[in-house]
Amino acid sequence: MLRFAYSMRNAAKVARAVRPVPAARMQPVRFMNGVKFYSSTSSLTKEDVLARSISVLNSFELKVPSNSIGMETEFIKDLGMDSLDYNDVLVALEEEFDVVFDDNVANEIKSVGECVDYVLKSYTPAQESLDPEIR
Amino acid sequence: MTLPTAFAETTRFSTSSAEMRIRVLNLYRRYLRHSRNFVNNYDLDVPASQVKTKIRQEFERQRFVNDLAVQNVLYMKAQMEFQELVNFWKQQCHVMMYFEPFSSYDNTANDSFIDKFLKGAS
Repeated sequence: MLRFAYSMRNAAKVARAVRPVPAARMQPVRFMNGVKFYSSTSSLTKEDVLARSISVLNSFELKVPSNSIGMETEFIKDLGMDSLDYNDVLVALEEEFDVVFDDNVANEIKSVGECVDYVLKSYTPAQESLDPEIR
Repeated sequence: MTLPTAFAETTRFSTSSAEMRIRVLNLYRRYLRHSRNFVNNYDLDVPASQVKTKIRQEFERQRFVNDLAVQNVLYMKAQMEFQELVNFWKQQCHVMMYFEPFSSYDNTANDSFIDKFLKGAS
C-alpha cells in the first residue's frame, strides 16, 4: 500500500515535470465566495429597516427611550407625536430609504411596523450606473 | 423646461374638516419633500433642516384656525405658494423674506414710506 502511494506520488511528480499545467490561467480566483459585489435584488432585511428607522426616530424628540421602539410602536399613541410630527418622521424615512410614501398610504400609517413594511415593499436598490443625484 | 401647470391643483372647497385635514397633511409632506430643492434652486444660505423648521412654523401658525371656510382659503394660498416655490417663479429674496428676523416683523417706530419701501413690504 505504502509503495503504491509512493509510486503514485512519483508518477504525479513525473507528469508535472513533463507537462506543467498553467495553473494561473485555468483556476478562477476564489475570493469571498457567496458575497455579491453588485445589488441585483433588494438587500434590505426587516431588521435592517427597523434599525435604520429607529436611528432616524432618534433624531426626533421622543417621549420613550429608543430601545423600547419596536414594530408595534405607534407614532401618535406611544411616541406622543402629533400629526405634523409624524409626517416629519415619514419624510425623514423617505429620505433615508429613498422611497416615497403614497398619499393614501401615508395617511393610514400608524405604527413603525407599517412604515417598515411599506419601505420593504417599495424599496428599489441603488444602481451604481446612475448618479444618486439624478435618481 | 418649465411646465406652467406643473404642481397646479384645481381649487376645491372641502366641506368636511376630516377631508381638509388630509389635504393639509398631504401638502405638508409635499412641502417637506421639496425642502432640499428649495435650498438648491434658490441658492439659499440656510440648511434644508432650517427650511423644514420654517415650513413647520408656517403651518403651526394656522393650527388653531377652526373656521372651515378660512381653512380652505389658507390651504388654497399655501398650495399656490408651493407651486410658485417649486416652479422657480420666485427669486431668492422672496424666499428669504420668510427668514427675516422676528425683530423686523412689526417695527412701527420707523414705519415711514422709505423704510417700508426698502424692506419690500407694501
